Amino acid sequence: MDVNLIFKIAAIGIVVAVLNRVLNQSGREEMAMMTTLAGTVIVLMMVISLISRLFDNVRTMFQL
Amino acid sequence: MLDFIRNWIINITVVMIFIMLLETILPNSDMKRYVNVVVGLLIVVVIIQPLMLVKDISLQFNKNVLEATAFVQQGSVAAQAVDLNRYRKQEALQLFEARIKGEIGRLLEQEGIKNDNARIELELATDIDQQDFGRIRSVDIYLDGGDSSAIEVNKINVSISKVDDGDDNKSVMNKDNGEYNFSDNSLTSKLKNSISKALGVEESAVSIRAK
Amino acid sequence: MDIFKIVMIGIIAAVMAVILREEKPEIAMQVSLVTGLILFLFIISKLDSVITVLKYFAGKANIDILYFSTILKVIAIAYITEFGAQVCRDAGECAIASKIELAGKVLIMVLAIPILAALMDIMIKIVP
Repeated sequence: MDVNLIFKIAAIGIVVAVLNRVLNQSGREEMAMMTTLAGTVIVLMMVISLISRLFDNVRTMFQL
Repeated sequence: MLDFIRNWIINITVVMIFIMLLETILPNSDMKRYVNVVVGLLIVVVIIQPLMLVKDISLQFNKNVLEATAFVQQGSVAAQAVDLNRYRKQEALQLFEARIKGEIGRLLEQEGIKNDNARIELELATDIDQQDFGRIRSVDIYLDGGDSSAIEVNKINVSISKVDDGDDNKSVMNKDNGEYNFSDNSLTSKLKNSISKALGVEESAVSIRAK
Repeated sequence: MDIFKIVMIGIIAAVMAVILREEKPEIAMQVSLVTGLILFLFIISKLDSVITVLKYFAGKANIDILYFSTILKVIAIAYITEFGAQVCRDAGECAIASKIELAGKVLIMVLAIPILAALMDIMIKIVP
């Protein structure tokens, strides 16, 4: 069980939230939007490999 | 007979235990009802087993199951077949392109131009759904003048033109610039002719350029 | 014990998801998704032994391999459907979740169709 991934994603989320707040305060809405998007995409990349692993496991176990 | 009944009862018991285990590991939700339908059908099949012995229905039953399975899976198999066909056509196109390039290279070699000096580009109709899939749209050949053999060819041309026209100033000037116009050359037209003959395309679709 | 690990992972992930939900709901959703995935992977490695026992039983009772694989497929579809639907429902997309469930139900029914058809055929044959 790699619990680290949960912490990693939460850390990315907090960093992105802070960046978003700072950039919004300094009046750069478009940059804030970009950071949000980048954070989401990075996290999604991490999640997708995990999902594919789960599906592979299920497939081999139930001989689908 | 007694043996058969014993087997039958053991079967039913084991299936019951089996299904009990299954129910516990199932996620509790709406799905349960639908899973129960399938499981119920299986129980019916197990209980009905003594009837199967009558008039060898068992074989018929298995045949029916397989037929129905094949029918249900037909749709997905057809979709996969379309994908596979597409993939194979793409592969065939690549092979075709490589072979045509090899053929052109051989033709060029016959005319005394080395393969590494010529860059061959083909434009094929790559749209699978079109009627003319795989037709050669155009052939572009770029001859590299920087190499020694190509210059040799040019030199021969220069000497020919000297004999024919007696106008060597122009060719010498061209030589200084390092650019030779092949467009109205006899070698180029010969190449064009042979390539178009070999590939079965019009001569206008073949273009040869030299640097 | 494993159950302590699982509960602790769940609680910690829940805390983090709640923290993030204020600022970034999309990443909070990903946190809960990853937690679900990790727990699911862990559970599946345990479930493997259960499936092995079931296979042993099936072999012993001479249950036809066709029916056994059908049952296994049904369980797998039920699990995966449940997982996907719950993730979607967590993210607030109830419509997508119910569509996933519908797809799971239909697929299970499709698996049941061959047995159903064969049974029907036998009924018609046996009753004169």
